[in-house]
Amino acid sequence: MRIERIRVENFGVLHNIDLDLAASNPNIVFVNGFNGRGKTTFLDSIKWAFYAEEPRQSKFLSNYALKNTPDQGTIVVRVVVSLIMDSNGAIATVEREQTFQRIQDGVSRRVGASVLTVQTRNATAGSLTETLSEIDAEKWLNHYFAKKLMNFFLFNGESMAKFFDSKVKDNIEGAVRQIARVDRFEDMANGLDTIAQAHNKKIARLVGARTERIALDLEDARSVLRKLHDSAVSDSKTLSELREQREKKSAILEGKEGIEASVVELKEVEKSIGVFQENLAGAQELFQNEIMSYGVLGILAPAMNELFVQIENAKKEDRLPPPWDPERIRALLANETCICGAHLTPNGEAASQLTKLIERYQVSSTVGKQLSELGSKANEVKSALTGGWKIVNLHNSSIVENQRQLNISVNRRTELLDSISDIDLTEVGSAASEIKRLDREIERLVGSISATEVKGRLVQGQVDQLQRDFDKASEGNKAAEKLRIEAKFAREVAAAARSIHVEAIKRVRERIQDSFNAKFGTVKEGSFQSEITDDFEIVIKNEYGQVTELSEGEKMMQAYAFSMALREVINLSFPLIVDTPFGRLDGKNRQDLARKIVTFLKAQTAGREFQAMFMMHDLEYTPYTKRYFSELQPFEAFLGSDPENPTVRSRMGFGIDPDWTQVEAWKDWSEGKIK
Amino acid sequence: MSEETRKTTRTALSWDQEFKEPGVKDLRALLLQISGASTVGNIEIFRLCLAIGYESGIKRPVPSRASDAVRIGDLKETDSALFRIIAIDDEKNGEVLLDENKIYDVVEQYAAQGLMILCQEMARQPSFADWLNSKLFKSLKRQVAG
Repeated sequence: MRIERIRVENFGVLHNIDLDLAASNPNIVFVNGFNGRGKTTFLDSIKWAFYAEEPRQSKFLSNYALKNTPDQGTIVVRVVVSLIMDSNGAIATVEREQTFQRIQDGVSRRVGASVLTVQTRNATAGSLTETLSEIDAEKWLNHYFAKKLMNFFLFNGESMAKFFDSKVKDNIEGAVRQIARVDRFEDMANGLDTIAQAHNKKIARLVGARTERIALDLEDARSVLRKLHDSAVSDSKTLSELREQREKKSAILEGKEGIEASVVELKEVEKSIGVFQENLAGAQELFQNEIMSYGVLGILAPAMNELFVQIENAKKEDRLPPPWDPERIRALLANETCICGAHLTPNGEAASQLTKLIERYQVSSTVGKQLSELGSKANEVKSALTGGWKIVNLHNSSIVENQRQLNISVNRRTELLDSISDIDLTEVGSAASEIKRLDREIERLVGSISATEVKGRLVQGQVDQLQRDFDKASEGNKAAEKLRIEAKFAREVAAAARSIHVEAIKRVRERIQDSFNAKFGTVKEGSFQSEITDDFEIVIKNEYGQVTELSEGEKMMQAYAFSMALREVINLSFPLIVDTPFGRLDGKNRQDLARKIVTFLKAQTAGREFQAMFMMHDLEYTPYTKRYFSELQPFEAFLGSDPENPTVRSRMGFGIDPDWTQVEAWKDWSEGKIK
Repeated sequence: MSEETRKTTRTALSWDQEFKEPGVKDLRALLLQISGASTVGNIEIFRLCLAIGYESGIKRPVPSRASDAVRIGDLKETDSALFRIIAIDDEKNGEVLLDENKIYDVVEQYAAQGLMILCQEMARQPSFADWLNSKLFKSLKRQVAG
């Protein structure tokens, strides 16, 4: 995919810009300009066209247009991007426009929502063959430019070094889910469930009333399970959106001068909150594992006191240990043998008395034996209780300590957010308040998802049991038996479809990892190995398997390489568009990065359909970096000041901005002093 | 002549039918939620009911006997020992050990009382988990640490 033309009207300082690349069809495009000439606005306009991401109002509607429109007159902000979709020359034109009406000088109102149209055309046909409606246009955009992937298509060099530090994890996960077509498998599973359900109804009709009743219960339970599943999916989606919103709000705070220290501390505090929350959850789980058994024993333990009283009494009364073996004496009696010196007649009075005595002692002896055993067991329990208490108390102390630390951190976060929101910057204040609201909402959702999961497990248990009952009840009926096998098969396939995405995600992750390794390998010095973990973190290890700290330039290249790997795996080669690709790197690091970028771009463009667009200011694109880039034969355009309205309008030209040649190195270059 | 312990002919212990539905089900659901475990067996629930009932010091007669709580044959040695210890405490006489039926009656009646208390607390406590954890923790502490 390549960009053929970009037209921008009334978008911030871009009054009327037309970047037409049709004739030269370049692989590498540079749009250069002094700061403030609209490079970022140019990127924002592309973002708006594809993803409906609006910049701030002040950077959206052109001040020039507003000033030069009569009251009640309308102004249309419009961006049109023409794309060559494939090597067969299929073309798509994406156009988004938003109408404003001027109320008075400096005041405008929006007229309706933005309108998106997408036209596609097959180049060989030579004319527009299909014009898609707005809804279809959204679908088309969602297919080729999924919003989840926006951060991998459009970069800002200044944030690239920390690209993998924060928000990217969620984005990678979202992207991978999309590539693995998880939703499609989910739909398939739901369809199969419906088939299985229909079969169950038929079986119930064949087998009888009892089965029918179980089938109804089963249907109810499955319906509850589906609702829980849908609710969990929907909550997870909302959670992801809220987290995304939160990231954006945090970014607003990060961008404000004067509150950096608070923002830096806020980040640290938030990190601590995450750690304490994790530790707390861990300690609570460990506590819970032990308290139920040891706590119950603790309640029952006082009963042992009476046991020990009984044991003591038995000892005092010489019943413990058992005084003698009754069986042996009974045997002696049966054999008419005297054991006491007196003559005993069988069944005589003396023998009878002795028998009664034996019985009494037998009771004592049986009870004594049991008491003795129970005494040992009770001592074991007591000792287990002592050990259990140590464990439970340890976990409890850990809970108390983590909760205390968490409270401190949460209070500190509130203080910091309050102090930030006190600053007289409406945007910052509202961002901080919004973050507080989002945090509450996120916490609520996390709890809700966890509760839904627990309920889900419970209902799944009921469903399994009901299914077993149902299968049992329908045994013996041949027709029902056949349907039962089919329904079982449908359920198994549904379960497989639900679990297949786990495997699909794994495969996609492996493919991205392989592709990333190959691409990053063209610029990373020394042996390395990358790994995308189960949590979607990218870890770079050296040849000894140790995690490697990357330089700032390497971190930026990591973002480039990852973005390209993702394009390769999803088979959508949207151009790489980067604003200020060198970020805030100093001179030496900038040169190093320039070398890396050139090597990287050379590898990407070799024999492949690839386009990159870099927007650079005069400190990034110098006669020296131009030298590195010259072998790529870039197409050079610039955003310069419009001579008619230099403060509010920028114009687009080709080559090097003539204003640049008035200063420093570019002046030397224009005079031929630098080749 | 009572030479041996009188063995019971019963195969299982029973819930108090009055509170079994939906008490045991609700209790199981809550314990699953609290513990995060995938299953909570009848014996765990019975043991908890027994402890709570025993702590109250009140036995609740179990009129209609059903064999639906815990299979006696599946009892572990420690549970069996605890049941006998509770019966001794209840009767204040070690000779209760000679009558298994009596032992099971005692624990069954304490468990019935415990189930009733737990049902009430499930309805009354804003957080049943906090109430239960606190109760168990305090009992353990009192017993071991004084």
